[in-house]
Amino acid sequence: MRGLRWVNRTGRRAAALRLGPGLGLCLALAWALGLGGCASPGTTRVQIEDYQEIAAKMSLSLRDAPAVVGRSPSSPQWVVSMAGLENRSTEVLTEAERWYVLAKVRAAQPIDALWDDRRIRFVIPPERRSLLRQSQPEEFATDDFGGALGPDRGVTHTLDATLRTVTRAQDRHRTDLFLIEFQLLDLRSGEPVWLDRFEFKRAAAGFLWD
Amino acid sequence: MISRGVLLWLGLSVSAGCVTTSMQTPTVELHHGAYERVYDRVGDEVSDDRGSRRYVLDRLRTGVAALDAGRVGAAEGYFDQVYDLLRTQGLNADRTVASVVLTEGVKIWKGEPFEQALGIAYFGITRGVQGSWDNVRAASAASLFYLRDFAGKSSASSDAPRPGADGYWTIQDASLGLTSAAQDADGGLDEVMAGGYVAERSDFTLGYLLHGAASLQLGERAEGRAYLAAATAVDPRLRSVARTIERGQYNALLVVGYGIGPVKQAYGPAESLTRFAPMTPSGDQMLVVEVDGREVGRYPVVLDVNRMASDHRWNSLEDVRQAKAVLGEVALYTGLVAGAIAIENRDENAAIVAGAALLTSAIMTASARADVAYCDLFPQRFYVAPITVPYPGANVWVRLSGLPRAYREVGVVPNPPPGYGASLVYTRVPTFGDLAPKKTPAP
Repeated sequence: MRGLRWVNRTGRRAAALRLGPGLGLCLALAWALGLGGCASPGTTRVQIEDYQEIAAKMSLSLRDAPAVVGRSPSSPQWVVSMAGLENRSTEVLTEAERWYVLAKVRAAQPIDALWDDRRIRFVIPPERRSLLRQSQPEEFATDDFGGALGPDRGVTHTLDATLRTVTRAQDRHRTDLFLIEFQLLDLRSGEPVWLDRFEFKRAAAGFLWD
Repeated sequence: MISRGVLLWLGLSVSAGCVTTSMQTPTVELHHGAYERVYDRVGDEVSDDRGSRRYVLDRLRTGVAALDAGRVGAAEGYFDQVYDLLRTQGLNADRTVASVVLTEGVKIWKGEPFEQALGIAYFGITRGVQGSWDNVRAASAASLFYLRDFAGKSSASSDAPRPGADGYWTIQDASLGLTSAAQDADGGLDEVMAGGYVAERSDFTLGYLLHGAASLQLGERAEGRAYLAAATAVDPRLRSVARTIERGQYNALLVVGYGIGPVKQAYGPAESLTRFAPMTPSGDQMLVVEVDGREVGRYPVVLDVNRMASDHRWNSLEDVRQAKAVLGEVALYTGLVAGAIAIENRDENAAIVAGAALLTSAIMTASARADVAYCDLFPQRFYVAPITVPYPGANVWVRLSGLPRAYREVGVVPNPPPGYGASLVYTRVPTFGDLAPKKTPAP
C-alpha cells in the first residue's frame, strides 16, 4: 500500500551556509517569498486514514442497525462473507486497497464484539488473507480474519461495498467527494438487512501536471 | 563586494538544477521480445531515493517492462507508485525558487502528457489483467481527464459525447460545485454519483476503448456506448472493434503493443530544444489474431505513440517545467546578487552589472541543457482485439500483416463462459519475433 509522504526539507541546509549580512538578508527574503508562494504538494487520492475513519463510522452504524440490535447471543449464527470494495470511482485501487477497508471494518472493536453479543461473524475470504498480510504486515500479521471457514462455509450474508466519486477541478484546485456504500445482504431472502453510506472529501491545490 | 567564491557557488547551484542521468534503452532485447531481460536490466536501475528526479520515470519504465514480461504483480506495484505521484498536485511547485537556494532544484520527472496518459492506462491494463474491470474503468477515466487538466480547460468540448440526453450525467463545467451539480440532476446526488463522469475531448483512443469495454463489463451500458462512440469519433477505423465490444461478442480482450516508442532528442542551438523522433516507424499494418492456426480477425491500430509524441497537445510539459525552473532561478539569482551588492556596497551600477551578468550566465547555462529524460520502453503502437477463445489453453497467436517477423504466442488466455465477463490479456509483439518461440507461428 502507498506510504509516500512528501516533506519539504528546505529548512535544513540554510543553517550550514555562512553568508554576509546583506546576502543573507536577501536569501532569507527570497526563501520566505518562495515558500510563501508555493503550496505543499497534495493529492486527493484516498489515503489509509480515510479508510480507517470510514471503517470506524461504518462499524458503529452496523452495530446499531435494527436488524442487528434485535439479535442476542442465542440467535442463529450469521456468517458474513465480505466481498471486496467495488470501485465505481475514477480512482484506481490496488488489489490490496480493495480489501483494506473491509479488513479494517472486520477488525474494528464494535464489529469484533458482535460475535459474542449478537452471534455475527465477519470473515474475509481465505484467498485474500495472504494479500492483506503481505501488504500491511504490521496490521494483519496476527489477524485471523474471522477464523476458518468450514467446507460448507456456512455463509448466510454478504457485505458489499462500493466506492464512488465526483470530482470538481479548476485551475490549481481539485476536490474529490468520495462515497462508500455498504450493504449487508441476506443470502436466503436476497434482501438487504442493512445499508448505509459514508462520505468524505479530499482537496488539493497545485497543478496536476507539475 | 561580492566574493568570487559566492559567485562560483551561485553558478554551481544553477548548474545543479538540470542534472540529466544517462539512460540505456535495451533496444535489442525489446526488438527480440526478450522481456525478462529487459525487466532485469531496468529493474536494476530503479532508485529508491524519493527525491530523485527519476523516481517516477524509473518506476514507469520498470512497470512497463514487468508487464511485458508477464510479471503482473510487480507491474501493479510499480504503476501504483507512478500513479500516486502523477496524482500529486504541485509536486514540483516548491522546487522552483526556494529549493534552488538550497541546491535542490532538480525537478521530479512527471513526463509529457502522453507519457502520463500511457502510464495511467498501463496501470489500468495491469489491473484488467488481474481481472479488475472496475479499475480499468477508473484508470481509463483518469487517462482521459488528464488531457483536460493539461489543457487548462474546464469544460467539455461541444463535439465530445454528451450522454446526458439518455439519462447520464456529464459535468459540463468543472467550475460547477458539487452541490449545484447534485441539485441540477433529476435524481440528486445519487444520480450524479452513479453516472458521474466527464467525457472530454481527448483523442486518446486507447483510453476511450478501454473505458467503453470496462463500462460494459460492469453493466454500465449507456456509459460504455458513449465512450465507444467517442473512440470511433476520433478514429472511424475503430468502428468494427467498437461494435464487437458493444455487442459483447468476445470473451477475451487482447491489448497488444508493438515496436518501440519514439526517442526524445535534443536539437537546435546548444541542443536546447527537444523533440520526439520515431524509432519504430508508424504504419497501418493490421493485427492478425489466430486461434489454433485459424485467423479469427484483423484489427486496426488503435493508438500511434509516434503521432501522440509529435502532437503539441501531448508533448510540451517538460519544456514548460524546465522553463519555469529557469525563470525561477534567473529571478532568484538576479535579485539576490543585485540586492546584496546594493546593500553592502551602496553601488547601484555594480548591482546592475552583476545582475545582468548572472542573468545572462543563468540563461545560457540552463538553455544549453535540454532535458531528454523520457520513458523509452513504451510500444510504438497499440491494438485492441476482442476475440472469442473457444476453450482453455487454446493456441492464440498474434502477428502483424506484412511484417513476417512480428509475431508472438499470447500464452494462456482465460476463456470465461458467456455471461461471466471477459478477460483482459496484454502482450507485446516483438519487431523481430521471439528469441525463443514456443512453437512455430501459424502460417
